[in-house]
Amino acid sequence: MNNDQHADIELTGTLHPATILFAFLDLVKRFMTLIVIAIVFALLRRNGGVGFAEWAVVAVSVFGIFGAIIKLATTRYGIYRDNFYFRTGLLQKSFRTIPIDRIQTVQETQNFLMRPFNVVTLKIETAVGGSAEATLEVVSVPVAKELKRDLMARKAALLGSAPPVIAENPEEIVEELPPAIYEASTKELVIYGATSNRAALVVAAILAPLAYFQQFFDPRDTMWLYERAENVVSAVRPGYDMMLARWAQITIAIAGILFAVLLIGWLISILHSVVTYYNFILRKTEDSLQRFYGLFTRVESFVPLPRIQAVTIVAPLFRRWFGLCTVQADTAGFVLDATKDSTNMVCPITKIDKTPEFLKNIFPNLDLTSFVWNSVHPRVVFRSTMIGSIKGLLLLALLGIRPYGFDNLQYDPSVFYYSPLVVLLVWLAARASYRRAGFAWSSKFVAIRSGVMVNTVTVLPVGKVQSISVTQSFIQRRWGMADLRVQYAGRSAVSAATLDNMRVEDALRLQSELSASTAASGVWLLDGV
Amino acid sequence: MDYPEHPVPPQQSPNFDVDLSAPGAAPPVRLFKYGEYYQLHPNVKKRWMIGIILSSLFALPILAGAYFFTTRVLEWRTEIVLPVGIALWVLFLTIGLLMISFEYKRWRFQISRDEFTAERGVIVRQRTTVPRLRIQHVDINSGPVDRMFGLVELSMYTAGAMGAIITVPGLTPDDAEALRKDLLHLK
Repeated sequence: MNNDQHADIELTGTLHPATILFAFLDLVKRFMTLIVIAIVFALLRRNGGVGFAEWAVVAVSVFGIFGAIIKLATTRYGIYRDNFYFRTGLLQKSFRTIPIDRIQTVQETQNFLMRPFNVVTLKIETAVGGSAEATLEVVSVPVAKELKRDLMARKAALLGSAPPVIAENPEEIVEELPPAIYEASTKELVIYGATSNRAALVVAAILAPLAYFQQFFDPRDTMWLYERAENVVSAVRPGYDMMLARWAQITIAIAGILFAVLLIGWLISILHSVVTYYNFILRKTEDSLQRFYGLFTRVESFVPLPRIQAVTIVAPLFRRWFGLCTVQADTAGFVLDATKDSTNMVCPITKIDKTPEFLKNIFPNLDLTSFVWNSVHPRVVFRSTMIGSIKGLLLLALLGIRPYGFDNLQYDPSVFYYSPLVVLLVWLAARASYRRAGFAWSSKFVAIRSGVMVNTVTVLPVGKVQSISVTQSFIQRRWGMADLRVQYAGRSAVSAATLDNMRVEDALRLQSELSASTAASGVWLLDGV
Repeated sequence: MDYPEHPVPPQQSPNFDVDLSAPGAAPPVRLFKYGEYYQLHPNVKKRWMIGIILSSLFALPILAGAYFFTTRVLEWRTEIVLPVGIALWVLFLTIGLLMISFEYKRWRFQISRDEFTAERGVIVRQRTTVPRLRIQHVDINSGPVDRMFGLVELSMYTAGAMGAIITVPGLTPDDAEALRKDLLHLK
């Protein structure tokens, strides 16, 4: 990029000097792993001195501070005519031009360290996904507010609309609240938290193999493991003495600690859900959903209805036992006027049978109950059973190894008695998956459902579709199957509804029809107008 | 998905489907016929070949690390590890180079009034359709190797996607410019 062509544009806006401090803290956060490793190495070292890891930390710090100074010195921004300009970089120079009428949000964030300095981070975003188009890492609050007000006023003037009111203190605004369409009770939030965390499954997944191998381990026969470990350590640090320990005891201790940690994690999950979504109220106005929630940090966020790109109903197994599910709405760009709100949640927990009615609040034309669901290719049961059985039998074969020491590996073929059971379980899972997976579409919506343990149904308006891909592996081509991926403009980089192992003719027909319907729906705009 | 073969070279002729008698209609700058499949420029095979050779060279330090680890730490025998490592490196390089002509045959694209479609892939085949009204912006990029062969690549972006939704490699600058103007309805 040739920056000389922009030489006539004088940019006067600069970052706050505290940028250096916050850039350094950000660096510490990013290289925390390296710092921890350096500390561990320093503690383990017996002969004193400074090692490689410490030098690496010093080098990273020096370069980081130097980089922050460069950033402070080279970053300039300003408004010129109808554009916002943002220039940064010394060697890799960047000069970005953002048309003010394309700006979607100007978002201020302030963490607790920023408060004493009275500074904020200001993010200026357009409709393009990913990170903000311009991020002023550290600017003073008055400067940020003035810039935000100026940008919004100019945008309104360019678009010929009234400028939005930006209150100094949002609490001063008193207005009549729209009717609530959903409220979550504390009991429901406890169920939500309890069924969100997968701690129990993780504990089972970790403890089961450990418990299985435990019976074959004799600590006296595991010297070869130490020898291998010593070789690794000796290669890195010659002459270092390995501290030997009894593997069995360590295994039990680790398992116990893991169990305790995961149990605490489960309780924290419940507490977190209650604290985060406490008194969750969803209200609906003519053109937006308004969410109010939180115990300590009270969040008020507005989701403009035209910006909702897709809705996903999520029902994990445990939650389904209570007849409950969660509804999430994926929006394009970031939510206007949100403070720290980054969730897609519009309904943390609700009755499954009430979901179709609830969704009418978001998509009035959507009638979920009228959808005729099409299944995927029936051969998927055979294919999944084959693949799953191969994986299962390989795992079973590994379980037959009896490690009585490095030179005394024995094999117990009796594990293969369980083969029929493995194949049966895999077949049942494949059959359940086949019966669950499916798609449906109407002239206005396309819906995809999948998942056995976690049932999901994703519904998106045809007009919100961005692209459609059909993919076939070698085996899928032989069996007439294909995977479908319908991409939409959600806030994630991988916002897409996918369905695997469809009949290829269904996939290609859906691709063709969706593409035609999408093209007929006109230009995609962030606000859907 | 067995596509019919369309070994049609890019045709430098305007599209005659447009009704130029309509009031205010201007002849569009368009070199691609709607509804026809086009292959990439043959030079892209050389560009891919250079890319694969460079990638295989970049893999050498990793292989050297693996050699060090297996012979010094795991104490595997050098006279086995070294020839096996070299053989694997040559094998993957050869497979990569052999795949180029298949990849070239499979890569094709089509532009129509409403959508852009790209089909590619040898082992895993992919057909992506992007409604033209969903294209937010289009980039034309060329690296040093591309420029060596007089090529550029065209990337198109839709809303919400982190990167390009489709990147069409192996285009001449004129073809890329024509495609860009057509996709964005520019004159």
